[in-house]
Amino acid sequence: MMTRKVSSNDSPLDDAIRSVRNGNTAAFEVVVRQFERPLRAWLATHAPPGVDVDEVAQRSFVAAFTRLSDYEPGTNFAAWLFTIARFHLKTEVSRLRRVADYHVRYAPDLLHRELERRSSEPPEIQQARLDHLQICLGQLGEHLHRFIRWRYVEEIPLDEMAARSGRSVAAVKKQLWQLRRKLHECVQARMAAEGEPS
Amino acid sequence: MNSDERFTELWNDYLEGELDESGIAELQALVAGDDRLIQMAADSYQMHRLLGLIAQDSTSRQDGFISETVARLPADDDHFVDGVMQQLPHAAPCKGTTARKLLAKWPLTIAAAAVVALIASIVSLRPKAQPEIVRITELNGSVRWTGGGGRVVPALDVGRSLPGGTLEPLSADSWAELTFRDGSTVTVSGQSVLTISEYRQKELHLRAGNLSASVMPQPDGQPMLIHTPTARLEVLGTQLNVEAELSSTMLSVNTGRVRVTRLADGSVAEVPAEHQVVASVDRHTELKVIRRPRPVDAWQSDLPTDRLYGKWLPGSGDSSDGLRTAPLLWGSPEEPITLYVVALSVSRNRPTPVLLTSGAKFRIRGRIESAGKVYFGLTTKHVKGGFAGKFVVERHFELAHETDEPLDIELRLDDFHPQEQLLTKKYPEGFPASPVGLELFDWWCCTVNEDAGLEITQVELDAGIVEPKVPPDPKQM
Repeated sequence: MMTRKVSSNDSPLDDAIRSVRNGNTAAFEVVVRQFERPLRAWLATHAPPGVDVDEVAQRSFVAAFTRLSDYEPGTNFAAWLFTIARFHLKTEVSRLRRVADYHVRYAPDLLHRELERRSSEPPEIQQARLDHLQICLGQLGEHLHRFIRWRYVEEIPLDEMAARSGRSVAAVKKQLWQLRRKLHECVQARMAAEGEPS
Repeated sequence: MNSDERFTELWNDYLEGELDESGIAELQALVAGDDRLIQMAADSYQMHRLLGLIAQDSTSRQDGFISETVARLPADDDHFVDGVMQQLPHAAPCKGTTARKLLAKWPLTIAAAAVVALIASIVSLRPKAQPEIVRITELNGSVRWTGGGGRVVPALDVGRSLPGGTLEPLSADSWAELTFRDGSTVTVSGQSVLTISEYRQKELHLRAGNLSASVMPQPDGQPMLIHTPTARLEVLGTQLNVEAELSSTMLSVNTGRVRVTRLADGSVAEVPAEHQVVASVDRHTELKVIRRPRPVDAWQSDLPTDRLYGKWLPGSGDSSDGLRTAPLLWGSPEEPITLYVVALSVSRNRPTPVLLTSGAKFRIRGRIESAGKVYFGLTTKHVKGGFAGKFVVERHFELAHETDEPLDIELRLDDFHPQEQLLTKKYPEGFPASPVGLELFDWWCCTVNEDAGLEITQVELDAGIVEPKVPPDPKQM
C-alpha cells in the first residue's frame, strides 16, 4: 500500500511543531511543506468553482500557526489541520454565496451540495487519489495522454486541440469527458485493490 | 439526444467555462433529482481539479507557495514571550540560580556584559515584526482588512499603518486610498478585493474590482507588480486605472508605461500613456493596445451587461427587464445598516470613457413600491488621473408612486454633491466639488434600512434629454 504523506505520526513533524511552539516561527515551514500538497488536493476537489484554493490553503496554515497552542501534541495533527481548512473553506463559500450572481455564473447548486457532502470524507483520500491518478496517467497511451497535456498543461483552446487531432470540437469535448471517466475508474479500481476507501 | 448525452455536453461546456446562464439553468434542471448524474458531475469535477493540480505541480510552484505562506505568519507577542521564557533557563549558567542572584555575585563589568548579552539574545529571539507596507490616507464606507494571521479588522481608521494583507471595500460607495512609503498611492473602490505585499517589490493582487494607482518611479528590476485573474502588470512609475473581474482585465494608462502579460497565453504588450488594453481569458482575441478613445457625453444603461449589484427581474409582457435593489450589509458590526442597492458599471465593457459635462442630466426609469428616500450616486475618475470621489443626491418619493405608475425621474448633474464634503475641503483638486469634467465610472442607487421595492429599468445620461412628462395634478383639473 502506498505511504500517505498526510500521516502525522512522524518525528520531524512533531519536532517542528514543538519548535514552533517554542517560538521558532521558521520551523513552521516543515509543517507547510508536509501538508501543502494534500491540503491543496483536498481543497481543489471540494471547493466549488470560484474559490481561490491557494488563498484558502494559506489562510488555513496561518490559522493553524496562530492556534498551535490549541493543538494537543500526540493527537492527529493532520485531522486538526483539515478541520481548520474545512472551516475556512466553508467561510469562503459563504462569502461567495453572498456575492451577487455567484450561483448564476459559477455554481450549479446541486454540485455545490454534493461537494459539501463529500467534504466529510477522510482528507487523506484525495492525496491517495492524486497518487493513483499519476500512475493511471502514466498508463495512458500517447494518443490519449496528449489530450490531457493539451488541456491541463498547455491549456490550449478546444478548437486548437480539434485542429491538432483532426477531430471536431464536439469530438474533443467527448474525448475529454471519456478520459476523465476512464481515469476516475482507474483510480477507483486501484484504491479498491489496495483496500482504501474510495 | 438523450438526457445523458445532453448532460455530458452541458457538463463539458461547464468545465470549459463555456456554459451561459441558460445552460447552467438547463444543467441544474437536468441533474435535479437524478442522483446518478450528480455523482457523475461531482466525480468528473473532482477529476478535472486533480488533473489541474498535477499539471501545475512543480518544485518552484511548491517553493513559492511555501515561502508565501511562511511570509504571512504573524509575529505575535505571545510567541515572543513564550520564546523568551523558553530560552531563559538555557541562558542561565547555573541551574536553579536566578538571574538576580547571579548578577549579585558577579563583578559589575561581567554583570553588565551578561545583561548586554541577555538583551541581545532576547532581541535576536524576537520574531521579526511584520513590516508596515502602506498607510491608509483616505477612507469611506465599509472597508474590511484581513491581516497577518488571518485577523479580520471590520473597521479601519485613516492614518492606520498596515502590513501585508487583504483590503476589501464592501459596497458600491466604499473606497480607500493607501500610500506606500515612497509616496506611491493606490485607491481601491467599490466592491473589490485587493491583497497587498512588499517583499522584494510592491505587489498587488486585485482579485476583483477597481483600482487607480499613482506609482512613483520604482527601483531598476523591481517594478510594482499588479496581478489580476487574467493579467500581470509591471509598473515602473505611472498613473493607471485597472478594472478586474474573473474573465477580463481592463488597463488604462494615463502617464508612463505599463507592461501587460495576458495570463491565458503569455502574450505581452507595452501600454504607453493615453492608451488602454483589455486582457481577457479569450486567447483568440488580439491583445490590442489602443489609444484612449475620445470621451462621449452620453450613456445608456444595458442592464444585463452593466449589472454590478441588484436582483435581476426578467421582463414579461409589457414590462421591461429590471434590476431590483438587493440587500447589502454595511456599517460596523455594532451599528449594522442594511442598504438596498442597485449598482451599474459604466466603464466595464465600454472602451469609450463617459465624460460628465455641464448641463447633463440623468433620466432614471423604473418602479418603486413604497414612499421613502432614495440615494442616487456616481463614482468618478479624473480624466487623466485616478479616483475622483463619489457624488450623491437624494430624492424623497411620495405616495404618488405607491401605485403601478412607473418611476420616471430626472436628476441634473448639478444636483449631485460630494459624498465626503470634508474630503473636498481638504483636497479640492483630488476630490472636486462638482462631477462636471470627470469620467463616470459607475452608477448606483440605494435605500437605507427600508426596502422600498425600488426597481431600475433604464438609466440614461445625456445633455439633451427630453423632460419626462409630469402627471397632471388632479387638484388643478
